[in-house]
Amino acid sequence: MKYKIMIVEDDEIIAGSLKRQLENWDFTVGFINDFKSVISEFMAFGPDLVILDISLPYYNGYKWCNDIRKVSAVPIIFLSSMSDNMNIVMAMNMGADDFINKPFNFQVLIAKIQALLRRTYDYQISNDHLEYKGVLLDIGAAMLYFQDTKCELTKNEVRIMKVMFENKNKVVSRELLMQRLWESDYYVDDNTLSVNMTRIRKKLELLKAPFAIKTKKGQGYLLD
Amino acid sequence: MKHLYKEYIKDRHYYLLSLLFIVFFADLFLLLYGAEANALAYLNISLLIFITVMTALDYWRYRRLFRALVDFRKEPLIKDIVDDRQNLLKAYAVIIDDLKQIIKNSDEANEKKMREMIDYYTLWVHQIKTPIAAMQLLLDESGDLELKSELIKIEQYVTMVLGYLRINAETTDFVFSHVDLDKLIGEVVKEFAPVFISKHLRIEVAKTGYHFLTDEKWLAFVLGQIISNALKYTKNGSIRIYKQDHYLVVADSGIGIDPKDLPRVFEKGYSGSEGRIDKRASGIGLYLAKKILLELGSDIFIDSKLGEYTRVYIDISDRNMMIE
Repeated sequence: MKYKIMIVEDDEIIAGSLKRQLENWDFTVGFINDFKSVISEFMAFGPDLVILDISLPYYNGYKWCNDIRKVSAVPIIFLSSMSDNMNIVMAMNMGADDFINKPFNFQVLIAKIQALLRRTYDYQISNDHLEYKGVLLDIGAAMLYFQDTKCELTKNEVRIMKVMFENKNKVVSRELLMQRLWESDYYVDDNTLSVNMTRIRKKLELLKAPFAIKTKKGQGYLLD
Repeated sequence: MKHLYKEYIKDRHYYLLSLLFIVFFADLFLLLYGAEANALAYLNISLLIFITVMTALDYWRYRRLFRALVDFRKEPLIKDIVDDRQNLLKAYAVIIDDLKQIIKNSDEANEKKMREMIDYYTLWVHQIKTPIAAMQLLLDESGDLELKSELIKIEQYVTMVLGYLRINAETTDFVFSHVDLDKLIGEVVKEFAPVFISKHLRIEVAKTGYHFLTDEKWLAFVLGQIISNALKYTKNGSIRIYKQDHYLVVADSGIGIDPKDLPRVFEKGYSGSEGRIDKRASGIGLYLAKKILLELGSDIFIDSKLGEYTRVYIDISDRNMMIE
């Protein structure tokens, strides 16, 4: 089942980009068309989570948060550039579950969405196990399985493999890999990434995996 | 003005009485010692003429001063309530009161202007953050690190505007809480990820396991400024963040600071002798950092060797005891 997220944001660029990126994460995303009737659109769409801006046309986000709270206990995340303490306190008092400052990092937003969904709905992150050509990556156990053989991975190797598996059939740039590793508190540099890659390649060989990590010169890495 | 002479007499009556008293006593003593009536008359006439002339001169001076004060009070700045019957000292008192009122009014007007300016800049910062957020999201999709790095710089400058206005405002909103230093460092460092990655700079963050009472937002702002500086002036090598005694140290392997600039780097607007340090440097970042830290009851200092390293020390002693 796909979770439904409603974006209440009047900036079309932000709303559009959020929609595209959230859809990549397998969510169904809805917009608000008429900012005078957010509640009726909320009722019609029936979202599992709401992302709410504060400054909106006609009424502000606090009012809509308050109104939504009268009819629903759905998780609400405020997303606003008005990040003074007063605004955050106000948002929380109106019944919001979290507050993210603009500008924000999409990875932070997705982590907070997942955490809220997990707390509210028993949401299981669907990609705890990733698979490619019969090779299974168990993120929780930090293991790679292929047929009867298995192989342990270090934390950082798991993070790298996760990004590679999520982007199978695509060239993953070193920069993208590094950014994703940074987001998980692992401030990797060029050398460390190369060392990790070498180790992962050896492990894939030991596993007799039907693919390897190929280096595309000047572009990045590809599972092939 | 017409009864000014009455005021003058009132003002000077002890002095005038003493003069008459002196004449009276002189007459009395001379009379007792048997002076001739003629001599007495001459003395009295000449003394009275002398006294009258001097008093007239004094009155003339008094009147001139008073007129000057009245004219002064007629100036547009001062509210125009001229009371004819006021004496000189009272006139001064009224003028001083007027001036006090003027200062108070102008202070209030300035404060209001300042508040309105801060309100506008606050609004502006919120406005500019929406397009920045939009650009950041679009760049998340396209993944251009160099553009992202530039956007981080813009965001940093925007944050600086607000920091500058707020720390210079009469009332600054400090919110003290127990802060997990490692978490704070992590959050700030991650903001700069695209810069580190695109410049191929290494960062080493040593876990501190330290918690202390401070204002999280302001400290994060200061740390952001310091890391942003370190990134600006480091071409290769690494930036290290670690705790040493009661200091948080941000050390870089960058161009360093000339010893003759070092004592002045925290001055507002100082960006190095002969345009050194950096032509783009505003001289605001470190000034703000120091000011904020001093207000937080902390401090900052820098140790550097030109061409080798810069180490910024932020005092992170726990002020818990002092506040409780």
